[in-house]
Amino acid sequence: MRRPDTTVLPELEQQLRGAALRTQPRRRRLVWPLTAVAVLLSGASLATAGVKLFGDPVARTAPAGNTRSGPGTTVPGSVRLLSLRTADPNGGAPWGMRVWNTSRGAACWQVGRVVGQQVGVLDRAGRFHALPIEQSQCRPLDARGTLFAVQDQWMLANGGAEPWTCTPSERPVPGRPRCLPGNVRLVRYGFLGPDASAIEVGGRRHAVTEDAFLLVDRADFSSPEVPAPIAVVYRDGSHGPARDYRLEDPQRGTTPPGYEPLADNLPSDVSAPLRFTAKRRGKDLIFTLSFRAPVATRRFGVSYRIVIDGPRGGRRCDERMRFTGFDTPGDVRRGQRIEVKLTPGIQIRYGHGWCPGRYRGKVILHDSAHVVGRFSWTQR
Amino acid sequence: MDDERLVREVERSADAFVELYRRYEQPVLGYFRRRVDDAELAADLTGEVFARALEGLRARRDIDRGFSAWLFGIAHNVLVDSYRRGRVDDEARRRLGMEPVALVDDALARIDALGDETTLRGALDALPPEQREALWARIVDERDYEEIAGALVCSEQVVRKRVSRGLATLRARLGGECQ
Repeated sequence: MRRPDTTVLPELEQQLRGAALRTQPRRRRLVWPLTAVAVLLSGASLATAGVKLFGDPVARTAPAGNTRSGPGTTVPGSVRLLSLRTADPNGGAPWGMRVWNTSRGAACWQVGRVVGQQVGVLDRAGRFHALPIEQSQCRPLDARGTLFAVQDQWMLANGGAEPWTCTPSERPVPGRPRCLPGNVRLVRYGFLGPDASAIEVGGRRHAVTEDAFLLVDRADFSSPEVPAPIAVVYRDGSHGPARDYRLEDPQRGTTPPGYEPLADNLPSDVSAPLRFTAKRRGKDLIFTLSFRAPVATRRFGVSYRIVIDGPRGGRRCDERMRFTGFDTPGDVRRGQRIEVKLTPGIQIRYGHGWCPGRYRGKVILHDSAHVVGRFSWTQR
Repeated sequence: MDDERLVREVERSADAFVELYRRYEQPVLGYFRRRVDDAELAADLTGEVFARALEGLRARRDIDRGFSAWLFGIAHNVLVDSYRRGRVDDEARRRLGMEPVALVDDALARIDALGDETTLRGALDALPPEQREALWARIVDERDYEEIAGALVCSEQVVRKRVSRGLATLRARLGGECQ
């Protein structure tokens, strides 16, 4: 393919170069105790699972966790394969999940085909490839250390977490290979906390095992309808929708039964003086906002962030503008100086400068109930 | 250097991945711009596609249908995920420690131009399905004949014939509208 002389997004190119350099594999390969696994598994169990052979373990896709940012690193000894197993519509090794805790108060999980004590994928020859433990799907634990998450995910029938390398035969996309008929699965799973006893979907009730559920079905692309909603049945007899509660979301009042908000562990007063200065650069005003962190943060999902409500936004200044961002990505020490630059080009992403009107902003810690300070300005 | 060789080089060289980005940035931006009504959104989706592609290559995923087919598969996946979640997925970029990209008017205008194929789409829609499929893959998504043949499970010769017939029909149709 002919390459254009210049890229449209040189900054993206630069960032991808940085990411490629950071993730450059070291020469040493990951060695998995495959032989040990093979010895542990009896021939009978392999035959039952429909697995012909073991292949190489899947290489790591995400960089190793960082102890001071993101979900953190895996807590040694915390990896737990749930006893929950769900059959695939075509048979073979069942589907299962494993969960583990991380050093920054999160839990991560993996879904795939299960053989012995391993979660992995099957290749076209039916060989099983174990997945490495990596922090790609994680959520903050609640204040009691419980994981809450609900996901609908399209996956390949072999357990592969990256679907759409082919297009479903029922919904072909020009120019892309078609999957074998019925090769895509709708995998629906959730971690519902200790108060849940069952789920109901499409008029059928399924028991919850170890506070979790896992449903695997052929993806039906011939129907325009969205998958049937899942209702959670709680031990007290009440029902509620199975929703994916993003616990870092500052919205309160939408958490499931049994969930203990992280914010309850934060002091009620987190106010701190803000320093807010403006500087003109060309036709634009660039604002610098800084403050000293009133509280240390060391948990995934608990961060300082900035919320700005503007008069108008968008490319033609004709849309309502609300910006939330600048989350501190990792540990923050108490008293640490945090500084951010507010520029119309970067944060609002349009080159025309600030839209006219009054802007009101605030720095919050985790949620809107914990306001560090407020700021505002008027753009003429 | 062909795509397959670059894909193999990615393990040893970040430059190889950047070269793949340079080759496919505009086709992917165009792919998204034709499917979402916003250049900024198209840029956002493109960032996530290449981040996922980098992760996939690092994981040595099988790319047996060619890099282009595999990359557009990821693009479709990102688009579907984003529709489903109501927001652009950024998990791969977060995992890779990538920041949001600043966009200026010039870039937005270029992205808009990449997606400007309203007339072509109308004319393409009127073609027989097999010609439309081949033409779309060749002209709009800028795919190689070999890749298209692999994707459509037919010979390269058949794809060339379909593209050629489709172009002739388009020429007649679009030309006719101009007279």
